[in-house]
Amino acid sequence: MPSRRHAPGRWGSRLINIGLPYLWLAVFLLLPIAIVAKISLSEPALSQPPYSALWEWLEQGVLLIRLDLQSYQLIWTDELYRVAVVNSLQIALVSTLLCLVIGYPMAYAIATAPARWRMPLLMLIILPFWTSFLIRVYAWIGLLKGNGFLNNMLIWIGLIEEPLTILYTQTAIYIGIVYSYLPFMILPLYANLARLDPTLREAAADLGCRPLRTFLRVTLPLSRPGIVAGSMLVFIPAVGEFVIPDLLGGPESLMVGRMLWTEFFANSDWPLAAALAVVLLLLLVVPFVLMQRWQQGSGDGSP
Amino acid sequence: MASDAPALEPWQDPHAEPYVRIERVTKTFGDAYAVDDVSLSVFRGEFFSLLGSSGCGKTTLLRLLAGLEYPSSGRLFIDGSDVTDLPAYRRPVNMMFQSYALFPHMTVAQNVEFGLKQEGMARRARAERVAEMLDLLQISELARRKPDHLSGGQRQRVALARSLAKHPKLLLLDEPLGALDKRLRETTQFELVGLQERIGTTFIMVTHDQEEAMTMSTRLAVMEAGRVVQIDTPTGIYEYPHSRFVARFIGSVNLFDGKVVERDDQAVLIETALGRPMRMRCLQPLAVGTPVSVAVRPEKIRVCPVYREEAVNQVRGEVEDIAYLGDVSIFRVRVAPDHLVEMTLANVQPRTEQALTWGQAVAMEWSPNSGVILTE
Repeated sequence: MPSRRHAPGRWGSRLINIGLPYLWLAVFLLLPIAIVAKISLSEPALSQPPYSALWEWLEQGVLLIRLDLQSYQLIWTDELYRVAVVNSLQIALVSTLLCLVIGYPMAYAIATAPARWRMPLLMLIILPFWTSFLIRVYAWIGLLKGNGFLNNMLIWIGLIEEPLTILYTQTAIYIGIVYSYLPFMILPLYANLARLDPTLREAAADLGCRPLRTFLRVTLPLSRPGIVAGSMLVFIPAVGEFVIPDLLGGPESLMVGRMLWTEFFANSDWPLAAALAVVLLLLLVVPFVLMQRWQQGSGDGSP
Repeated sequence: MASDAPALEPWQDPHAEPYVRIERVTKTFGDAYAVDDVSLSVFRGEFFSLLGSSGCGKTTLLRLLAGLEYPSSGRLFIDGSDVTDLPAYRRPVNMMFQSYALFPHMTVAQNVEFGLKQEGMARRARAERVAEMLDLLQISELARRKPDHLSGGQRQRVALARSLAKHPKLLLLDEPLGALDKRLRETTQFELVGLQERIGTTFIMVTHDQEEAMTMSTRLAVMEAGRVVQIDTPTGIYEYPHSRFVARFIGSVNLFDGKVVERDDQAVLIETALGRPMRMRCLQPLAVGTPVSVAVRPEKIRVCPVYREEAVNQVRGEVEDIAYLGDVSIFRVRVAPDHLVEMTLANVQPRTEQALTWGQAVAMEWSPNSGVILTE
C-alpha cells in the first residue's frame, strides 16, 4: 500500500525496523571484522596489546599510517599455513559431503514418515544438543582410543586382532565433525523436503517415472535449496573448527582454527592470527557469494 | 453436446466391450471404506464423470485407476488388460492433478516433455510432440516459462498438455477446473469437451460441481459414501433420479412425501399431507400403501389459473420469496407451515410487469409425466 508507505508518521518505526538490524550488524559483525583486519595489518610487538599501532599523529598534524603486510606474506610463503588452509578446506569439504550422504536419507525418511512420527524423530536429531558440545567431543576420545569402546567391540566380535589407531588421526577428526554437524545438515534438508508437494512425486510416477528416477529428476533438484543451506551450515563452521581437531586430531592434522589458536595464545602473534582469520573469512565468503549467485541464477528452485 | 448424440451410446448396447472396467473394487484406509464395492464400465471415447461431495470416494477411485493407490479388493481393467497390480509408472493412463503438480524447476516445454522422456522417445519426436501439444492447447508462446510465472488458467493448460502428451489410453482429471474462477471455468468447460471430442481420448473426470458434470459428461456416476448410487446420462440423472439423494444432489427438487393409495398400469395415485392427491406416471410395480416421495423439478411446475377441487397435482400457497436471476425467477411458495415449494419461471415478460408478487396466493400444478416417484 503506497499511501501507507509514505505516511510521515511511519518514518520513525520504519527507521527502527530497518535501522536496528543494520545497527546490530554494524556493531557485532562489521566492527569486529574491521578490528581484526586492522590488527592483521599491524606489526607484532612486545607490548600491551601485542601489536604496533596502525596509525599515529606526528607533529605538525601529519598522519602516519603503517600498513604491514608481513603477516599475509608469511601465510603466503610459509608452507605450513598453506597446508593448514588447504587441509581445513579439504576436511570441511569431505565432512560436508559425508554429512550430506548420511543426512539426506535421514531427512528424507523423516519428511516422508507418518505425521505422528516426524516430531519424535526430529527430537532424536536435536537431542544431542542438550549435552554440551565439548563433552560430546570428549566422549569420542573414550570411544575411539586404543582400548576404547570401539576397538574393544571390534576385537570382541573378532573383526580385528590389534586395536586400530583412530584417535589422534585425520579419521577421528572426520568422525568428530560429521557427528557434531550432522544435525545442521538434516534440519534444513528436512524443512525443505517436508515442504515438497508429494503430488509432484505422484505426477512423476504417473508420467512413467520409476521411483529412483523420480528421486533424481524431481526430488533431488527441488531439494537443492536445502542441500545448499545444510552444506553451508556444515562447511563454514567446519573450516574454522578448533575444538574437534584439537581434541581428536593428531599433531599432523593441521587446521586453520587450531593454528590461529596457537598463534594467538601460545605465540602471542596477534597480527598473524588476525591475518589468518581474515584469510579464512575471505575463503568462506567468496564461495558463499558464488553459491548464492548460482542459486538465484537458476532460481525458482523451491516450490 | 456429446450427451445428446444418440448414435454414440455404447452403454445401451449389451454387446459393447467396455474400455475401462472397474469390478467390485473396494478400498479401505484402516476401518474407513473410501471406495465400497464399486463396479462400473466406461466405454471408449466417453467423457465420464464421477460426481459427489467431498469425501465420497471419487478421488480415491480416480487414484486407484491411476495406480497411485491399490484396491483392497476387486480388479481394474483398461482396454481388456488387467492393470490392478501395475504400478502407476507402467499404466497406459495419465492424470491431470487437481493442484496441477507442475514441476516448478522445469519450463513448460520440459514439463510437457517429461513423460515422453521416460518413455525413451527420440529427441526429435519428442520435440515434435511437445510442439503439437503446446499448439493444441494454444500455449506455444509459454514454452520457455516456468510454472511460477503462469496464471492459473495457463497452468491448467500446461497440466492438460503434459497429461495428454503421452497419448494415454485414458485420461484422468481430478477437478480439472476447480482452481479456475467462474468465468474461465465456463469457457474452459466447452473447450475441454471440444478437445476431448477432437482427440477422442477417453476421459474420466472427478468433480463436485454438478453443473460441470452435467454439461461436460456423456455419462456420470453419482457417488455417496464410497458407493456409486446412480450411473446415467446427464438427462437420465436429472429427469429420472433413482433416489432422493440423487434428486437432491443434482439441481433443486421438490419432494412431496406420501403413500400410494391407488394404482393402474401407467400411473399411481399418491396421497400427501398437502391434501390434494397426486397422480404420477409410474412403471414400477408399487403396492398400495408403499411410502414414496414425488419428486418434481422447480421448472416443471407452472402457475395454474384455477384451483379446482377434483384436480390432481395441484398445490396452493403463498409466495414467500422471489429470487430474480435475470433469465428466470425462483419463487418459494409456502404450501404448508413446514413446506416450501420451489418454482422456476422463465422471465418471458420483463420482471416489473409480472403479476406474481410477495404474499400473493398462488395455485401451482404439474403434469403426471414431469416428475418421478422415489422409494429410496
